[in-house]
Amino acid sequence: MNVPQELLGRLREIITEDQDLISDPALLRTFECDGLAHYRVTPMVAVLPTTVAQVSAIVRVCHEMRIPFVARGNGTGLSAGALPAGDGVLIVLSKFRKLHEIDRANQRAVVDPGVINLDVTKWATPEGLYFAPDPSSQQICSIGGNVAENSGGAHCLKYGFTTHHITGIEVVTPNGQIVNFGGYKSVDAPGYDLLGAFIGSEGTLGIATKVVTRLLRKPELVKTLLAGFNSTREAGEVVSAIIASRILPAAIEMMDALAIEAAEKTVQCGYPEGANTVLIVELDGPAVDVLAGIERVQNICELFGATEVRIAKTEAERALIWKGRKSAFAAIGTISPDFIIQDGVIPRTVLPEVLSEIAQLAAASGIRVANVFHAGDGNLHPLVLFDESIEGELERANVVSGAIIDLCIKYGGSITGEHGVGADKVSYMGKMFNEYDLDTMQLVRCAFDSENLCNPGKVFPTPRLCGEVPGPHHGVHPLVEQGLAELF
Amino acid sequence: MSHPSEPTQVSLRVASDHDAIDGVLPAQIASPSTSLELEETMRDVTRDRTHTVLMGNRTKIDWGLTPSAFELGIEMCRMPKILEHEASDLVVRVSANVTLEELQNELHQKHQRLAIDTVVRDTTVGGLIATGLAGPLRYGFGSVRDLIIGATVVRPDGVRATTGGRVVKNVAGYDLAKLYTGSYGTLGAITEAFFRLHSLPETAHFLLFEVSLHEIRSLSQEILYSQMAPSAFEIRDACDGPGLMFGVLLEGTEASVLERTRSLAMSLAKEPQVLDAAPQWWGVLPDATTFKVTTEVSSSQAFLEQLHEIAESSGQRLLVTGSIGTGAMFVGAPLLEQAPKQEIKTLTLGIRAAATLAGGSCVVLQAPERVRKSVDVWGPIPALVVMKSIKAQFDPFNLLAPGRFVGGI
Repeated sequence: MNVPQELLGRLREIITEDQDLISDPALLRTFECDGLAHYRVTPMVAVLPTTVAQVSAIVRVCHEMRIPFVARGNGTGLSAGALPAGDGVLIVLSKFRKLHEIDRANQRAVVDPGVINLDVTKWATPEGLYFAPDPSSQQICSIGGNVAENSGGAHCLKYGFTTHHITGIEVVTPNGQIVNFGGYKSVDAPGYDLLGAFIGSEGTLGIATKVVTRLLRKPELVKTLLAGFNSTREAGEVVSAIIASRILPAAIEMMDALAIEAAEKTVQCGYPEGANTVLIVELDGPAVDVLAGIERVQNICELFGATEVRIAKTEAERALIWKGRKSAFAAIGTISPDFIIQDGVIPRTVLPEVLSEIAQLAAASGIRVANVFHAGDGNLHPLVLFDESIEGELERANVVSGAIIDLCIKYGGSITGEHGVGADKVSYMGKMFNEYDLDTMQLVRCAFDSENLCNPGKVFPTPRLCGEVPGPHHGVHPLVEQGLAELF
Repeated sequence: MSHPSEPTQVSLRVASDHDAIDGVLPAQIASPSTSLELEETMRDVTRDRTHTVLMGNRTKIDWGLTPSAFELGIEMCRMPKILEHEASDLVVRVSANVTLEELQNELHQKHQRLAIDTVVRDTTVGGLIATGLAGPLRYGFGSVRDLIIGATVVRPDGVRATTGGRVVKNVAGYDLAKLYTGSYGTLGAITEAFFRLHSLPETAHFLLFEVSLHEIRSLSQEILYSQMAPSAFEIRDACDGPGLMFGVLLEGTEASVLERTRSLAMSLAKEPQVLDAAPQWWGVLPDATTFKVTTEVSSSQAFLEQLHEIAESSGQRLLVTGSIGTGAMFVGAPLLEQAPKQEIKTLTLGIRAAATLAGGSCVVLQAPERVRKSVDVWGPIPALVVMKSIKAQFDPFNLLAPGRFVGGI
């Protein structure tokens, strides 16, 4: 798309380094997608600011010229949340990489949004601290993206999500103002919980330019157990029994036969031979609790018919157990040329029913589904396998994938546990929430971004017209009449 | 946008003195008994531009500022009571009019709890959410905003909306439950919520250490960096001398608690008094006049030192309780109500300045009307412009709890 000369001129006044303002379509293709690569849009122009003043100035220009803009971190998201607007500006925050401070006494880190998740932990390690949210992409994903998506990870069963680990953010609002949400290093800032509203809003309420995170004390002891089972049902029962025994593991992960097969092929993780399902259970905390707890978990596994139970004795053994799990998504490539990753959530207790329904769906459609999931909190990651070169497989895979999301909704769960809605799942939002729910969420959107310029097309299936009086409506809005918008 | 509704008759009565807030008497009190009735009542609020305050058990009804206009009170007590404990999922669905005690009693039967203390007795779940009031357990489990996973609200225009869900892990849509938490009834009526639960520990030990003011920073760091994973880390300070009390709550299996108690005593080189039940000051507001103060954890000693100076120079008695481990504390001032207005102002400004210097904030949490009318209850509010914009979207005619919240919201 041709860039309006006025826009280019005004952006050049803000971004003076040539290489940080990209309008060459060939170069722009670098940014056309995030981790969900089948969504592709080339932005009109991309900018790589280095200061918050520049971000604010860019957003002001966009706001004044009514040009959409999208912020992007490291582009590892799996919901096309950072998909550019074709008629808009992409604001790339990869130059915001500064660690401002590790504050030992307050157990906080102050970082730029472009800082990589795992680097926060690396910097905090000498103080005996770490940053708890650990999405599988933690070696490459950025904190700004974690804030946008409210990222979780394997250990959020015990430690919660990004929203529980951020105490302050500097934000450039969609009209270019620089504001601070939260109490910086202290908790409970008076007034509305803007931190809570902003974190997880998927880049639709503004751009985070500085983030204050909590850091947790590294636990005294970590123990990781691997158990093999003959069926997912047995493994599911073990999960419930562990929770019922008042143990709160840091993580409970489950993989089914197909996922195990793929992981073994790729990383030779040495999971129990012939196991139909494996469970990984990790406990952390005071040594006295972990030692007693892991013994109880072992007993429970054996009671429910585990074919083999192993407790990692060394860090290397622990790493190998996790390697199988963490490589699972990539490993699927060895058993299937293409796959769709789903991210639905179900109440933990209906795990057996849902898994058996997924198996039925798979059998009926001839599409294979591998299951890798955070079993402790019911966050499924079914991988729907297909071969695009076979005619009709993609369509059938999409049907299965959609049916799995429908299952999650049917059982009272969620369409997404950690990947976000983005552009990918907007069409499912209306299944999980009714029009009033979505309208109410969009009141917040309107409070921040009345022009719907900030990451448009994400989260909500249809934009709300801002500025209208809430409550019952009369007459037809001109935009609705023209088919440009839809009223809830 | 209206729901199809059955013809219903919302119970209405003329307000009595008992219904006044800071002496301001509404004309009427509505007591809806179904969600539809509440929605209808709220629709009328917007249609008729009726200035309205929502009411639970009224245990905190005088928190915040006096309503700038008050024509209708909406009581939630006749709404249907819901309490669905899904024990195996560690989740509960509960209506706003259930008290925290009722909720905990139910959960305890299955050896679970909502890890939030009853700081004010008889508080309802709605009041708990509206004020976001959390006690000692916030150190180990977070506060109300961290444990709420879903909510249903009725907006001022009568639209009922749900946010979040019944599963803990869920990032679909905006997290409005957090926005409603601590919003003091200014955005709508909370009718029900889902909370994440935790197992009840088998054993609990309250370890009380007598410490000196000058040791607070080093001992706090010792506890923060210990491997004892306390569930709570509290302080009690009468601001009348160098001595004060640290309280550490250790929970878990009996063997674990005994072992950790021993370890902690050793690492602090102090012998604690060990109790099986909470001491009387634990998790309660220190006085009818109480400020809520936050500080950076590392600056709590500096803050308390200043507070001691303020107590001495002003002649006011000050009593501190609260979560020193998270930097969220309560400062009581039992004699303040009788003081001259100027003194009330000076003391408030002094505490607020000390909190600000310590990287935090200070609000008047609860106080007699005279105290609240003498001072800026909320203090300076960052990002107020965004908050006002949110209020304008949810309640464009400023009808709910008008003037009670921050910055005139």
